[in-house]
Amino acid sequence: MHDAEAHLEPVMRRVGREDDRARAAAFADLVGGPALDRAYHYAALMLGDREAAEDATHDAALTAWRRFGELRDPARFEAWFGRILVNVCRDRRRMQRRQAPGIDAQTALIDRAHPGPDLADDIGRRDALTRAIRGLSHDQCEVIVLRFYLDLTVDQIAARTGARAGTVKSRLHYALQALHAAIDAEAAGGPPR
Amino acid sequence: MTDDDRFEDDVRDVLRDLARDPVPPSLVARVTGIPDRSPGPVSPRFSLAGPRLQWSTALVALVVLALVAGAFVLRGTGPAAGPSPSPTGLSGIVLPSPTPPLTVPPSVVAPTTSPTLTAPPTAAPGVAVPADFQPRSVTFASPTEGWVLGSTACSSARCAVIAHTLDAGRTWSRIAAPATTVNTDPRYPTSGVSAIRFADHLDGWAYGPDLWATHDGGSTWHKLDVTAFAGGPARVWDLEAAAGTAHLAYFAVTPAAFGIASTPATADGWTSPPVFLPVGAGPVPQVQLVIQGRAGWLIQVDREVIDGARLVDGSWSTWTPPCADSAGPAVLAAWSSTGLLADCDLGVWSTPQGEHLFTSANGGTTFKELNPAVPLDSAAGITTPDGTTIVVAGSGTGEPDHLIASFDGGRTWKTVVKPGLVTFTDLGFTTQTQGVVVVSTGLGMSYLLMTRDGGHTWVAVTFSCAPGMFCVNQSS
Repeated sequence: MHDAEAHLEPVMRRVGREDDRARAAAFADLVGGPALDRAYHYAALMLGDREAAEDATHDAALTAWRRFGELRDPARFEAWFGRILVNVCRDRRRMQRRQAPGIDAQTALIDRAHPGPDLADDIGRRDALTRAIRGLSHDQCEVIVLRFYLDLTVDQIAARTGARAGTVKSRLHYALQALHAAIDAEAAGGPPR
Repeated sequence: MTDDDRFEDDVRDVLRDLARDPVPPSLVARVTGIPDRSPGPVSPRFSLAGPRLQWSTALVALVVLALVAGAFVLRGTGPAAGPSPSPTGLSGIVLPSPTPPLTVPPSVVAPTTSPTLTAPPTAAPGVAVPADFQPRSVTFASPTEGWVLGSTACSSARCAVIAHTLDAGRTWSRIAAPATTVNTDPRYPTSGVSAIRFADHLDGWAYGPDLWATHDGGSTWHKLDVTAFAGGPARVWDLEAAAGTAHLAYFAVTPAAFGIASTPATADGWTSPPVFLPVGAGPVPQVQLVIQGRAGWLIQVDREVIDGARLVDGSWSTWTPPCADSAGPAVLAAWSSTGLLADCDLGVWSTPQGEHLFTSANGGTTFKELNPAVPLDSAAGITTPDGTTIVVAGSGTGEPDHLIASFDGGRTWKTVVKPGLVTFTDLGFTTQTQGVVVVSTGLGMSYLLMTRDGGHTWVAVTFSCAPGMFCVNQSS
């Protein structure tokens, strides 16, 4: 049994019972654990704003609680909750379409108080990469964050986003291509995206 | 390791750098507290994973309900039991066709709870909104879920009724409301409520001058003791909620001053910081509270801008608002925690210079004037979803009240609604394209207008339309 499953075992036992208080405690355990950390950071990366991320995570958790009866296998809570969160973030990002999307400029500031000569190039490259990620479309940003922040496989991303595996692969390919192109353009002195 | 691998590692590193701040404790509290505050998960028998037979049964029931209800609405031509909005008299507004009134099933009528007031029946979700419902205040906690506080006739006054939508205003049902009266102005009545706000699906308030709260989505309401945080008799004047926190402005009777109080949205833990705005010398003190995320602004106007307060990083402190020396009033709107817009009526009490817009990109520290002037004589409200689309409610010289809009950051303007002699309240955008405003005539009639195209057109919403029925809102 993996560590994560061992952690969930007592929770699963409680969810299996019909007692309301046990169900509430199980939900609080599931949503308040490491899943919340990953959910909040996913939302922050997608929405680019801490407050919007907090609200989105809360809304997703509330939806999850209201639909908690649908969850048959608590070991799959995070994937199930993640699907809800992906949809909440899509809705919210649609709302903020005309504002600068994704990756908060403030959170994007890598500590440059004392960069040192060896770090200067690295910081410049990371800044450029941050700007490039900000310039991605929602679908591309979504697969990049799910793949490289949450470390999900292509099949897991497909399950979470509702897209086919082939579509996910394609989006990943074009997203990485776009990031490469943006970095190269900046290196060549072109305008940042 | 290939170049591609190294590049992917760089992407991982950047994302982890960007997401290194800890989860806010307030979020942990909000999320883990959901089971304590929510009515609870939907019963598994209605879940998607439930038995197919039960789903099909529910589907058949819904279809039958929709057919019966649809036939009722489409057939109905009978007279309304109470006053209903007239489809004429408000130029510029697309008014709904009248729909027949629906009666509240006796089985869901609850006993009255106030000894001094014959309150309207408390209704269960899914009950139709009364035909004589007059909207007073509107709030949306998401693009789809909203609440409207309004009134209906009761024994001696207008009693509170709340309409609730889960589909962006297309259909409405009546939910429970505080057992109190609805006022048209929070300043002069000594009891009752005049406005409604919700922070999220569960936590909301009805206020002005009293303060009522719900933490179960409006199923139950309880009255709060304002003196507990105001330190004495006080009236709640304005209230806004965002980012899990609610803030209100109250008027303390002795000494006469405006104060502020805040609480986590999920609780009734109101506390008041030591920030007070003594009332100005004019005869009509009023305040406006604007909240965006964790930023907020309070402006006091008493014929002219008097003073203000600002919320920065969770703390309120005194603030010099825009146009403080302009001998005229001002109204505020914010579209982000740093983007602030002020409409100032410059020199109205000295040398009138008209309505001018001022914008701030640093949360109200400095302002820059936008040109040209706003083509109004006085402004009652302003809203903007992004700083580019701007809608202002007000009136011009010899002209009735109307809504004007700019879609290019204030450079050009056009009139979008011209309803006549009315009062506008709760003008605001829920999303980039969806907005609301309540329009009240001097004859006791009021309407909720909604825009779904970013402020270009505004359509009056009809409330007497239960879920499952076809209503005019659904086609808008």
